[in-house]
Amino acid sequence: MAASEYYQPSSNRPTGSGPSPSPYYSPYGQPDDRHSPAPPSYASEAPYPTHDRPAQVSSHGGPFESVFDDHVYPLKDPKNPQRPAGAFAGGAGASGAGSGGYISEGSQQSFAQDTRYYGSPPSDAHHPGGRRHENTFPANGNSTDDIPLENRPPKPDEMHENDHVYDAEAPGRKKSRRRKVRFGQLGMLGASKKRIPWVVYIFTIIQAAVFIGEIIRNGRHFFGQWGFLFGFHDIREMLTYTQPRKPAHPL
Amino acid sequence: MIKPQFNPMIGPSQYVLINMGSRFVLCMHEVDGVPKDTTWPCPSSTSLDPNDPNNKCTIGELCGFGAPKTADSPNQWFRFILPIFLHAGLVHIGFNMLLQLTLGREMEMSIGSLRFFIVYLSAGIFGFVMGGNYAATGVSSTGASGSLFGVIALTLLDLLYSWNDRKSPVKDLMFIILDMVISFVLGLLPGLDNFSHIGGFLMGLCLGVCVLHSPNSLRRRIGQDSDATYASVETAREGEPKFVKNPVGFFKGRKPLWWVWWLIRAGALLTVIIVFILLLQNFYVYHNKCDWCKYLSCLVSLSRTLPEPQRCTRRNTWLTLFSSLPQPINGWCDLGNLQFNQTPGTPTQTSAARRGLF
Repeated sequence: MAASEYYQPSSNRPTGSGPSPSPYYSPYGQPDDRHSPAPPSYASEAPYPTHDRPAQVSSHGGPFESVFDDHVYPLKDPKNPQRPAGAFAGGAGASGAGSGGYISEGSQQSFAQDTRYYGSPPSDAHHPGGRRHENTFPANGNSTDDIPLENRPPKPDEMHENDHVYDAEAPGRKKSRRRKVRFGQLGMLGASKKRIPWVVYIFTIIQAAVFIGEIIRNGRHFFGQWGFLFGFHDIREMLTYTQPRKPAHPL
Repeated sequence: MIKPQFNPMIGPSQYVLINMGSRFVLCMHEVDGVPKDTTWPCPSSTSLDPNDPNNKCTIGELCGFGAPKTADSPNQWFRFILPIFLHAGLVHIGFNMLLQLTLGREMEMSIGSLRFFIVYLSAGIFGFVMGGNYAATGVSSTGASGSLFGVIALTLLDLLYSWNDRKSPVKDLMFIILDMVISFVLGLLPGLDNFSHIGGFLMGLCLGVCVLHSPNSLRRRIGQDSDATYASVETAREGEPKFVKNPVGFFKGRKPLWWVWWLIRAGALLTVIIVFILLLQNFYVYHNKCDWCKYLSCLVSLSRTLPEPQRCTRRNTWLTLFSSLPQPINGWCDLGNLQFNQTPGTPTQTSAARRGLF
């Protein structure tokens, strides 16, 4: 990717004051003064129209004068050093920022001095309502950088979990790397849910009971009403016993 | 166990089983060629002597369940259902319960009680319907094998549905095939009704397609995998409209693959219903026989001639049910067929049934 892309500020980073810069990535180097929604170079935050985005810009529209320019922009509010410099500062991992993963807020501190894009403080009067105008240090909402939605509460949105992460899986694959089903296990989705198998237990009980009934009935047929335990002196007598044709008792 | 003949399954005599509700065609409709004056062994019979008074029951007395004690075959339709809960002996019930408490239990835990219940009963009943149509007429059949073969069919479907999720699907498939081959071979033995197995398996396959969820890959494509469980009838699946609460909404916004799979399901259900009705029609009305079908449940005899005792003589009128043991293998496939030899001479002499198969 072109090195210039790294230095092109993201559209979600409104600057403080002054004419609107050309924060949009323009592959042809053309300044883009139109107020149009930024192309989502990172899918994390929904791009929103940036109107009246003042900033100190160079002649070509960017805050940097050249691709090698890496000014140290003064911190806007020394009282709030917690400014994380936005989600995208130093987070341009895709273009080779050199860091292998998501850059946490803490590590932003070291970059804060070096890679601030918009140094000038915003002027609130220039930004009508309708969107949040963040200051440079959003921890207490007083940062000077006009970074919208900087302080938004974190949304549990898995779509953006893997931003700035190298070798991340594609989003939307919640359980795509399941354990493989082992030999002899049932593999349908939901097979591991624990239930009590009522039907099997009930049927087994019924079948066992019926079988015992069969044995008893068989014994009665052959050995008289009171079962084969009674009235026989030896096995031979038991085995050769023949029930009379019309028994007086019901079975 | 040993009267009137030895029961290799270590269980009651088959006449007791018939009296308790086994699938026995003669207790369900009239069979052509059976003389009205035939007498049968009573449930209490202990010998095969035709002159034994215990062997002079009518078919109504043998069948039991309050059937009139005439020579007419009763219409005991419940003999398609009851034998699921009857077993011929310790060996029989032992093997069946082993399979039921391992495979059946796992399957029910996987798919839920209602689905399991439907497949279990349907497969069992259909197995007996198949047997009633195509097995030998003298065979008395019991057991939950048909139902358990339906469960085996569900296992096969589960394997096919989750093929790509498995570590070694081919090994699983081989295991199931081995299972089926062994059961089929055992079913060729006299005394085991293979039609129950075959019918149960086929019904399990078709009904499994109907009641099981779609294959895993299909569900992932449709997007159902996040809450992919067999929810009970009462609980709604997350994010999907419950059918009972919102019948129209159930069908809204569904992807084409979903419809395709439902079409397949509907086709399978229709097939099953039609085949079931046709077989019942055949059983009660048409009585079309399939000459070669019996070979699915027996081994072909190597000898061309039948042994002496089974040949007709000119002396007596007697009904012969070929015995199972210890007869030689010759004529094995003729076992279980009701055969009647009638000669002029003593028409009033009654006959007694010999042993039959179970």
